[in-house]
Amino acid sequence: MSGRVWTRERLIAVLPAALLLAVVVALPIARVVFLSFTRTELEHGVTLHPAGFEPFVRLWQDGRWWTSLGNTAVFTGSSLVAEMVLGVAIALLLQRRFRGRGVLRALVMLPWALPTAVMALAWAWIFNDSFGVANDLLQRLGILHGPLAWLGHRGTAMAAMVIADVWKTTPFVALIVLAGLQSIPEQVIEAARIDGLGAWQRFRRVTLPLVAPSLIVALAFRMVQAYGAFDLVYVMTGGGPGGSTETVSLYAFQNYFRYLDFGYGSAIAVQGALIAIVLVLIVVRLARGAGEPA
Amino acid sequence: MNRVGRAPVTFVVAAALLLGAGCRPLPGDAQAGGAHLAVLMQPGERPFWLPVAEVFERDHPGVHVDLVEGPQSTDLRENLYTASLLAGDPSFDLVYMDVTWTSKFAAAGWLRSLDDAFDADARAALLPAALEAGIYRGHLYRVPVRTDVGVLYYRKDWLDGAGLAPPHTFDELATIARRLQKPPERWGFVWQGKQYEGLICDFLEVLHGEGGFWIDPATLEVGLDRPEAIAALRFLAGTRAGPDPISPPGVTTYQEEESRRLFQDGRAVFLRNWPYVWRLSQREDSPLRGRVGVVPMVHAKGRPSAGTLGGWGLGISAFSRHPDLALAFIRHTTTLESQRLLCEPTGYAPSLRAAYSDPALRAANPFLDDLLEIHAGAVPRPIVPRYALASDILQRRLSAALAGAMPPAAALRAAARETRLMLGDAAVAKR
Amino acid sequence: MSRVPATARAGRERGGKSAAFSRGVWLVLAVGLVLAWSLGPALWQALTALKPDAQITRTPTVYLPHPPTLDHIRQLFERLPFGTYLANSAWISAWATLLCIACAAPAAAALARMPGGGRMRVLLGLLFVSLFPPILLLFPLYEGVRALGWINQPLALILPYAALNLPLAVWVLESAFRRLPREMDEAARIDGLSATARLRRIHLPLAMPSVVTAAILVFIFSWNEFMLALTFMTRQGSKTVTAGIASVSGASLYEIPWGQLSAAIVVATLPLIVLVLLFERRIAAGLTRGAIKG
Repeated sequence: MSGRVWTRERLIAVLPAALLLAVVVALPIARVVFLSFTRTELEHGVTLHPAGFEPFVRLWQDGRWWTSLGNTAVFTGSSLVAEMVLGVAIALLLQRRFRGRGVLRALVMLPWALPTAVMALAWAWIFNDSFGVANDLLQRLGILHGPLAWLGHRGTAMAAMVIADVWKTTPFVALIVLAGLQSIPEQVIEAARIDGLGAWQRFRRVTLPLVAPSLIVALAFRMVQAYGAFDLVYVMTGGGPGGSTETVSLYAFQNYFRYLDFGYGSAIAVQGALIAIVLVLIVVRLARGAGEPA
Repeated sequence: MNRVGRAPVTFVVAAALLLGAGCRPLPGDAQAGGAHLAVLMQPGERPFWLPVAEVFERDHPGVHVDLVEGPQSTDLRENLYTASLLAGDPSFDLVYMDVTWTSKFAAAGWLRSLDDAFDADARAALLPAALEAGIYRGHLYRVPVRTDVGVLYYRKDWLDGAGLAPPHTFDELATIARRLQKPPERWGFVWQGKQYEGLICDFLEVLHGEGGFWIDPATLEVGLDRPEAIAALRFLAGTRAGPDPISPPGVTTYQEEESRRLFQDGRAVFLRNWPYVWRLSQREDSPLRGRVGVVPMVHAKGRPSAGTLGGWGLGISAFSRHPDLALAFIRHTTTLESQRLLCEPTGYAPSLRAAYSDPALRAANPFLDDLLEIHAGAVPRPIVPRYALASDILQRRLSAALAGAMPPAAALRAAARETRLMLGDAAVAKR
Repeated sequence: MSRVPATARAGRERGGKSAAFSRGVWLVLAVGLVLAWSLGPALWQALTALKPDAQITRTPTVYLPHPPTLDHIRQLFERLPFGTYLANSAWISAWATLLCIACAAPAAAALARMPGGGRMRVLLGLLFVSLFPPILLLFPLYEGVRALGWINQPLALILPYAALNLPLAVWVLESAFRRLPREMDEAARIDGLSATARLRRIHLPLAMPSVVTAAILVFIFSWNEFMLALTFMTRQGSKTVTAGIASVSGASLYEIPWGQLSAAIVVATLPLIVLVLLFERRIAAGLTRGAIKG
């Protein structure tokens, strides 16, 4: 056996995967970065012209960009908080032994397997102002005293979107946390119980820190996914009302296909991606630091 | 010793197979024989095009006209056309276009020029304002099939009952509205205030009625921060906010149908909308039958009335495989027979001049004469390639002002600044 | 993992019958809530799809259709080429899955036997690749597809789907392959079997459950993808189910036939629901193994 890590055999084994990723991911990223330094003109056909940092200067002064970034931050933050809390709760529930647990687990996973774009339509129907179930239920429960035009006002439209997103992705978080929970040895929990710690304290001091690594993994994945969310916004609200739910992805998309401004759309996408990656790295580092067990 | 094995060979063979599988048409993509003409259109209008297509197919045996149903939302259909045309895809031979799409599609090089196909005589047969909307940089790209202009509907019975004549100016409208309304069961003035293209249409009418303008296509000058524009927005905002509103607060969530239904249900005195409302309000079973009048949109004293120009027309895709057939179809849609088939059951305004004196159409739509006159003064939206961006900028600011988030003056100043920035890019490009 | 005898635990844990009862009640409540939350929206769509139009637009909301009707489902297939959409989705997802696994398996097998440092670097690199928001890749991929003349061709989606799901597939397969006993591998190698033969005869058969898991996950993600499908497939006959339905959304209530749309949503999601219910355990295992790295 050769002492080399990358033997010829291994190289050929990873070649197909590497090629695929090079063509579908690496090359396009290089291209989109290139495009972000161009200006697109719409006069005699669509033409590209080199523009240096001009698109990024324009971005900096663009109120709509900052709004979309803010919307994305609100959406991502709210979704993540709700998902983490709900996900942990559901995982705790699924950890208990009871009859039919397997069936429950299967059914809990259902939302995650359904296409976001298709379910976005379903959610738009649920939040419909005249005939939606949400209004009906809330009115029957006495919480609302008249129909609410969910998708017609800024705050409620965002709330509706967050609810739809949380519904879809909580199973993912729950499963990861569940696996983390199940890998905690029984003795550790028992020891804590013997020590006289109550349920909540057991959870906070023992369970949570041990589950933290899986939570962080889930957090990182979900952060990027929520940040790049396109399907939900495009189909459910279209960025409305008044651009109050327009995310970075949607703003980039509009520039590509509605305004035919490829260069600027690319600048938006690139800037957005940079921010996302930096944020994820920061958050993961912070979370790791905070989660270091005592 | 071959450590790797037969893998690479297998892989290449598999890749070839995959390419074969990937390049064949999908299971769902079977196409019948004969020439196909495809066009994407809105589901609500499509049924009325079926007879038009049938006649064409009868006159051109072997040709099939594919009326593809798209989403109801105009913007979504524009996106679908864009994705297809940007890719140079010949899926759609004909492009069924709103008035505002011409500049973008033509500038991008997606449409064939129709200059040679439509000579002066053919052009004279169509309404000039409607035809203008299909011309970009002096070349014809879109032939209007049906046109639209904003008008003001009113409850003749209520005005007559109070001995009032229909209004000409903004002030007269407000006065009559306040006198006859009984909020919240009955509102004075209902229009389209939701953040979408319709809001631009409504605003433009008030803007031009005040003597202002949005963008001058020749000089690219922006008129949004002038006193006339601010007065226009103040009027609209004032209909709904302020001490004495004449419009329901929900007007900022209305598109055409919502506002029409309010009027149809007898809950509004005045309605600003498109000509199609007439036919629906005068149906046999309609409680509004015989009770509705139509006048040109109101304006400031001393200014001319302005109705926004709308309408739909056909262009030929630059990538169509059957441009001659497509052209034949366009000619077919502007014949009197086709115009009748399309406009009689719907109340749409035809683009063919001769249609306005056709007895059948006049019977179906008695105020065709008025429409012709109003149409002559129709205000087009500015023809700039990035119209969608200009519209989005203005929509946002108007919506913010109407919601009370920004005072009208500040909103319009911001809109003017952003629009100048956007046009400035274009001006730089013109070198 | 030793266990304290259940009875002893039970005695200590439950403070008598009443506490056990209240705990049981909480459990049932929790399970009920979770079920309602997870299944509610999808169930509501199914109910709407079976309701006659008059009952759909009745307020207050009518919950159960009486009598249920199959009209919407029938009209759906008349109005939209739904069978076509389903066939296209199945074709594209199947080929994408095949290609993805075909590329991921050899790479995973090679990685599984690689010494620690290099392996982690590659795996983390793959993770990094999956962190880019898809909007970043959309336009360059669109340009590429356009240049190759692949608009409306299935390959336009098959290749990207295979590539974008590679990281997940490699992670799942790699951890499964690593669990296989090294000795078998070594023995086969000494016997002169090539890498391909080893893959075919040892890795794949023994790790088949994980291969199936990876395949199901890739299939689901490919089926659910929206952004690329929306952009690359412009012709009715070429669309996938996700892009096909979602692009029929309208602007206001009066323009959307909610009954038909609900029927569309149900039909579009039914294959996935079946898939998930059948393979729930595998999916859960694959997701969690992919995320809980060592």
